[in-house]
Amino acid sequence: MKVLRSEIDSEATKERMLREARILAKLDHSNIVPVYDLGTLGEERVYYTMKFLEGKTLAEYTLENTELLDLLRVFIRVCNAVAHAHSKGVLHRDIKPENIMLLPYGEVMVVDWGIAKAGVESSDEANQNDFKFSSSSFTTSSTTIESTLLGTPSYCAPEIWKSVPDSGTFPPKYTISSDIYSIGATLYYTLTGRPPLVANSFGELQRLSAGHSPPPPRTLQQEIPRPIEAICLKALSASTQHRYTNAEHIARDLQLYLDGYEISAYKENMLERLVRWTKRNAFIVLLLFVYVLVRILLFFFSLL
Amino acid sequence: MSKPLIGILLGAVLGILDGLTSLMYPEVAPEIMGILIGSSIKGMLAGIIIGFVARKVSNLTTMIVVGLAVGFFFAFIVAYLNSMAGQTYWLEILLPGSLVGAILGYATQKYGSKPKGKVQTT
Repeated sequence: MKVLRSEIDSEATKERMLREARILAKLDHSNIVPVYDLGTLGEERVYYTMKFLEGKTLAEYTLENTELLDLLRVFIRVCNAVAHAHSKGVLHRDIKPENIMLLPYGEVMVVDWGIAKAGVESSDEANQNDFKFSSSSFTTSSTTIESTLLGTPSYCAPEIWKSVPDSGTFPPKYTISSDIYSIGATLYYTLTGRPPLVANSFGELQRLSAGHSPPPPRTLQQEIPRPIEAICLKALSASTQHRYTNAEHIARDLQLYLDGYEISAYKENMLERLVRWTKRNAFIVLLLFVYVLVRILLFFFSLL
Repeated sequence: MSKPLIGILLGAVLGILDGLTSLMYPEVAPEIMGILIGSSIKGMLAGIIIGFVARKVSNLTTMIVVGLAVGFFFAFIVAYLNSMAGQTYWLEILLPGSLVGAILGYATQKYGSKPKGKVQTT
């Protein structure tokens, strides 16, 4: 049961909590926690009830589990949950490793829909109310900035950063593409253990984001497969036109990779194609090898 | 593509390739056309049987064993007929023939579509 504490019972927090409950009620997906009930207690304190989640965040899980295939399987479910939300016109707007929960029996849940927004094509007025930007509120790369910029700085898309109040493009317009960027940034963290852009201050992060050059994941972890790096970098593309258009497409590419097929984000050379085919068809390659070996051995025996 | 069709096509190709390996033995070179025809027919027969079994079975290990058995069976017939004609190539025919069957078992299990189930109406 989630109840608003009386000391933070402002209209804004009440609205945020109500919005989270209403949005969750719209979403029916196995990787999104369902809301059971919504109402008010005495003194108009808002509450809602939902499934109690006990587990680890993806950030914690990544520290303990470095098995890439496991992490990718988790990530596919995250993408599917976000794709479902997008299909219902809901933007999460704060996708990050801390907002993904892994439960003891392998369930994956995308949580914290408190700043999510229903109606992807929302009016500018609604955006204006949502985004009151304050550079002094920067805390850490993993902390959501309350009541100011919505989202977490290190996981925010560059186009959101460009929408600071003095840039003339305020308020920022969150889109499916900005959620896709956050998915890419989260995948980056999952692969490398750090967000794509790391800075010591809000201003530095803003400058870095303007240049937007996260180091390719393989420069930090050489064992990351090139196709996975390509998926990550495509989702993190500075240009929204070069990003995936749908979270489902990221999930599909990840699943294709896991199944040993070519992905859309990476053009492989002949050798890579051959290696991938051999891995996918390892047993038939082994049988053919045994066949050739048997033939050669029989031939040499016949010479004796 | 259906599993029996995959079995027939792959069986023919593998049969021809298997037959061509007999060129490693110069003494049988004059009979190469007969060997190729016989070998491809043997591959196609094994392929269609294995393909039909693969439509019913959904287990890779089972299909490899079935493939081995069917491949061995046809190879045995060929080897037996050869021995009747005075040629003794038992191992040279049985071992590769069985392996070709195993490859067919694997391929028909992994690739090709099963027939769609019929909808029963009452």
